[in-house]
Amino acid sequence: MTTINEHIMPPYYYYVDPDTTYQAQMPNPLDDLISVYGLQDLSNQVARTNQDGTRAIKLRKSYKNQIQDLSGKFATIPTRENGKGGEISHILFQNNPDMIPQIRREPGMTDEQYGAAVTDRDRALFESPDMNWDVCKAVLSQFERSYPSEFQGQGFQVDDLAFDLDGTGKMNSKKRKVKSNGSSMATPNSDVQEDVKRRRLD
Amino acid sequence: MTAEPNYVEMHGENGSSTTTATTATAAANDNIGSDNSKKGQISNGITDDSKMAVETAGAKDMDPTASPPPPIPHVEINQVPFSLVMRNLTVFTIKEVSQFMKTNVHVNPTEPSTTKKLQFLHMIIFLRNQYLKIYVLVKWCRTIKNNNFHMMIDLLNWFRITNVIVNNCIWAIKASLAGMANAKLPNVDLVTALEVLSLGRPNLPTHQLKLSGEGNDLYQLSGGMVKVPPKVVLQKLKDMNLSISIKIAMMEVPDAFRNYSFRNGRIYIFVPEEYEIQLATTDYRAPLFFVDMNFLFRKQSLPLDKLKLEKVINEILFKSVKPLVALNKFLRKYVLTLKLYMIYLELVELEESGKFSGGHLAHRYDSKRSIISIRYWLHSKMGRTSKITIGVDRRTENLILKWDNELALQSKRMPVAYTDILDNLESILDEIMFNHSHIIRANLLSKGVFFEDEENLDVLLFQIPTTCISMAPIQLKIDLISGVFYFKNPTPLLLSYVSQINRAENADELINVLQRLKRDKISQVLRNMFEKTGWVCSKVIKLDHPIATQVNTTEPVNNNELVPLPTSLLQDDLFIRLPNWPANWYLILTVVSSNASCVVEKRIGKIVSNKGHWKLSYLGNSNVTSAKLESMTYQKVLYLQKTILHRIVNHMIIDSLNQLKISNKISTSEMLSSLPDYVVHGARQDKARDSIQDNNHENDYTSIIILELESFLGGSKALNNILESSMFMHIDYYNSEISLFGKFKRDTTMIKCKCDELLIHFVPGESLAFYLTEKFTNLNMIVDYLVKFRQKLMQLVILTDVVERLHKNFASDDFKIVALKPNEISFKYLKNSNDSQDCTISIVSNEQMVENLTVQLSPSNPQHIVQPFIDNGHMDYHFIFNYLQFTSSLFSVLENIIKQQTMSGSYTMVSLGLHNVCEYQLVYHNPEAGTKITLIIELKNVSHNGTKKVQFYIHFSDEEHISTKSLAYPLVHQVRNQVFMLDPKESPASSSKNKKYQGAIRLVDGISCDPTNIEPILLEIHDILRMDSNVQVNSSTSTNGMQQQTPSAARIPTAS
Repeated sequence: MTTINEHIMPPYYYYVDPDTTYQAQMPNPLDDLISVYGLQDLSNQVARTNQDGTRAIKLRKSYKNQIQDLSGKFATIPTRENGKGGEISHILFQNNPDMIPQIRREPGMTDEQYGAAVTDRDRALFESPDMNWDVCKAVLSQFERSYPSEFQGQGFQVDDLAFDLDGTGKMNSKKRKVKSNGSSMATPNSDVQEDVKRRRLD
Repeated sequence: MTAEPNYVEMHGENGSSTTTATTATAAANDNIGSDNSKKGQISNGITDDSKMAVETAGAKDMDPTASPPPPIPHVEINQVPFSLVMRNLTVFTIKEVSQFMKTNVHVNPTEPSTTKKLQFLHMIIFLRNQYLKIYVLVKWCRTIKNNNFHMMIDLLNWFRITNVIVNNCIWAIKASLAGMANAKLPNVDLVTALEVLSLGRPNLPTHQLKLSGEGNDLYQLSGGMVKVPPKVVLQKLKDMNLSISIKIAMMEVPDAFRNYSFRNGRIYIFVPEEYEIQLATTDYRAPLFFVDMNFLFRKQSLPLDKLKLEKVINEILFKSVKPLVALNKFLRKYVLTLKLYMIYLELVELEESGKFSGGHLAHRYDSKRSIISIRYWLHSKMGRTSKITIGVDRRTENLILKWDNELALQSKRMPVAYTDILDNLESILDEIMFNHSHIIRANLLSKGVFFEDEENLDVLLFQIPTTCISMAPIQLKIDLISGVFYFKNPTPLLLSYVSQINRAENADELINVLQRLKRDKISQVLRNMFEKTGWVCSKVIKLDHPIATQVNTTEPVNNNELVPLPTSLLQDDLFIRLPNWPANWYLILTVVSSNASCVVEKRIGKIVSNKGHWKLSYLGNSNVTSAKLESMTYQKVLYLQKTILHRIVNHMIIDSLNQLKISNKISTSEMLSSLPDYVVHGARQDKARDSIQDNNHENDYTSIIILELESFLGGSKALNNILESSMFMHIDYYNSEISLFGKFKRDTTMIKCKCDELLIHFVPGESLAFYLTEKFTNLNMIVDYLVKFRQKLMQLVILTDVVERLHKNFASDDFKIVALKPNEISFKYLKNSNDSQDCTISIVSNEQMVENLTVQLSPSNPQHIVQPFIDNGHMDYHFIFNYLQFTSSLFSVLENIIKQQTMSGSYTMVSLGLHNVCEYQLVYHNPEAGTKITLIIELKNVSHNGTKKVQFYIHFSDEEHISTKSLAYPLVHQVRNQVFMLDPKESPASSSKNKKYQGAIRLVDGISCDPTNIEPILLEIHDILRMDSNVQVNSSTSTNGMQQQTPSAARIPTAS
């Protein structure tokens, strides 16, 4: 049969050039790529629905947990929702050369020289004229001693400063640290299956 | 805050890597989902090719454990080093702080420091939060790194890129499509194009290959293609024949497929009357596949989706273990379904544009259960219950049509199941409807009401009367298409019944309707007869209940509920009257018709409309005449017209009497013999002109109604002991006379009095019987005559009463009634009265009672002097009559005395004075002598021997003392001695006189006597007192003188 095929089969039909070879896409999108790349556990953790189709518990916002190890007493976590967090300023992610004087590495400049130039430029930020410490002193001295009720009703609470004035915050944070030390950086396969209620991506 | 030693990559575009993470998760989920769906599709397996493709693909790619997965390009675009971020943040912070310091270095006294402090605090917190976020972000990034999350992100990104590539491909194809718009390709064959793309060859059913080996160049075609040599083709076909026959030989072939042949490289399987299918195979190992198929049961080509069929068949052939058996099963079902669908199409056409258009046929096509249920004759109630069902016969697995009709099943002569339905549906339906119409017809015929027409078998004949004596058949037919009944040559009456007939649900109802039709026709005939002869038929009268007839009186009627007549009996009431009849009175013709015969009953009734609601207020249930319809003729109607009026009047009178609550009974002919003769023959008895021939009409023209006296007088018992309790009302229509006969119980004085105004006549020869009579003009006024009679009778009562009393009071021979009017009686009672009447009594009465009597004395009556006392005294007329009778002698003598004295011309004048009705004074006054003697006559009640009596008491007045010296004394003295002494020996001459004064009693200073003695006593006293005392003085007063006078005194009474 194959011999007949070779006899009667024309080289190719229509516009399809049999000589051109096409490589199948790698990886094959028909495959279960999640398992191919070993992401099942992860996807299970972040899935929106459970395997039985019920709605999965929402990913826990672990913001509070993340800042727990900082000194400071965050009675209220500054978040977008309560209006105290706000966005990260876009300016931080821009590679804007104008933000800071650029140091050109002149030909013939040694590494030490270049490093010193960069250091000088950075230090200049904290020195006059960029930063006039006398002015700062003057301004701060203008501030009189505050009294507790001074900022009432003006959208400011002392708690927002997160100063650990009475020292309790430290205690808490220490306690928490002990408790959450391991799980904070836990690997996905640690104890996720049992902790269904407080699902989170640790 | 310090920078992390790890170099973390960030997505600057999104700002927050948390967002990135969730997006990645979502993408991953999507991926899982799409993958699963793909798997599902594969398992479903639509085509060979796709499955094959998957299998090969799976074989090629899938081995994740063996080899490491291919790398996925890492996301690198739009990434900023963390050092830059930290540097930016630092610069930003310092600049902000510095800016704040610079702007606030100068103190603005108006601005409080609190605002500045607040601004500063806000800035500090803002900046702190920026650091905080970066810190958290860094920690998150570490978590992501630890959890391989970046791989997930990369995967998402890869999916995104792949998606874009596919999209681009689609856009490219679209662009090439648009570019080909001018190329001469009428239909873009994308399917083939994709087939070529995926299989490397087209999968066209026709294989548009030029297999012919003809041409100049055997193997070369233009375009460098090689032609197929014919030998190769033939060889190939033989090979294929061989391979398919081998394959079939190895297979299980169902019985239905036994008829097959191998040709042209395929197998032709021929299933008679259903289809021919061609299958082929490439290799005996390869599965069979579909080549072509034709349906044999239909000439016209079907709108068949062969492509889809091919796919399905190929799938069956490929998948099934016993491909041919499965194919047979499938095609069997397919053919049945197709046939059913075609029947459905045929039905739709029949219903919408064909024979049965107009909603006579309805069907329901249940494609799931493969059943079509058909209902026909939708407008026919009787035939509507029948159904036709088309479905698959469980036994033969063929289509079958079943006619669901019990009667047809029972008859066994009619086919109820048909198998060859397709293309025959219309004739099958025709046959079923024809048969059904025959069933209905036979059913109706079996009821025995209809007749068959021998000439036309479709027609049912039903006899209805055209006149009272003749019948004619009407022709009833069933329309085969709609199943409704219709009349041939219909009249308006028939047309009005057609719809009713068609509403009938069974034969009995239908017959019932026809019976009603018959009854209505009879009514129409009768109405026609009556209207032609001058009667008027009321069409508006509608009674709530039909009139109870003699035919159905046995049917009990409970609680006002109408008990329906037995279906075989139908009733209709006609209300007929003559124009000159009293209002509301009708001759009620009750037509009671049954299957076989019809009876007409005649009654007389009164029907009153009260607020638009007709009510039978009177119904003469006696004397109901009932006749057969056949006996109704014009002669009878005309005769009825002449004779019926008096019956109506009778009923009317009875009704009026009933309304007046007078007990009554109409006399029947049997009763006539027992009635008094004068009543039967009425007032005509004394009318000599009546000839004997009138007696023939006596019964027709007279009616006698017996009344009860007490109820006639409205409950008054006044006449109960005067008149007999039965009265007879005699109505003579011939002479338009109404008479009321009554009879006195006993002979009363009343009978002797004639009073013309009372209209009371006495029956000659019957001393106690009397009658009242009136000529009537209008029968509507008959009640008025009754009222008048009653009034007269009441007056008679009153008169009789008064007259009786008069007779009792004036029980003397002098009493005589002079004139008698209904409210006035004039009579005489005085002894020697020359007057035409002495007294007139006016009777003031209400309906039943004498309220008052006015006594008017005649001016010439001596008692006229008491008239004012009677008028003002409010005295009982008993008293008045007694008084008048009692004092009649007194007043006549007084009148005599005064008259005598005035005529005598003596000095002494006599005057009469009345103190009241029971005290009178007679004053003798002699102006010459100056004497005045007052004689007082009083009426006194005297108890004598235990009985009370009224007596006159005569004495001289006590007030004026007449001394012995007075000239009058001797006269007084003489009266006392002569009259008052009542001593016979005092004067022997007058002893005889004294004897006359029997019952007179001597009192101390006067005398008491009764009316019989009052006259002589008073005359005797007058004889004495009339002497002029002065004359007496002049002559000597001697007993002689007195004696001389005596003869003259005695002379007076003799003179009167």
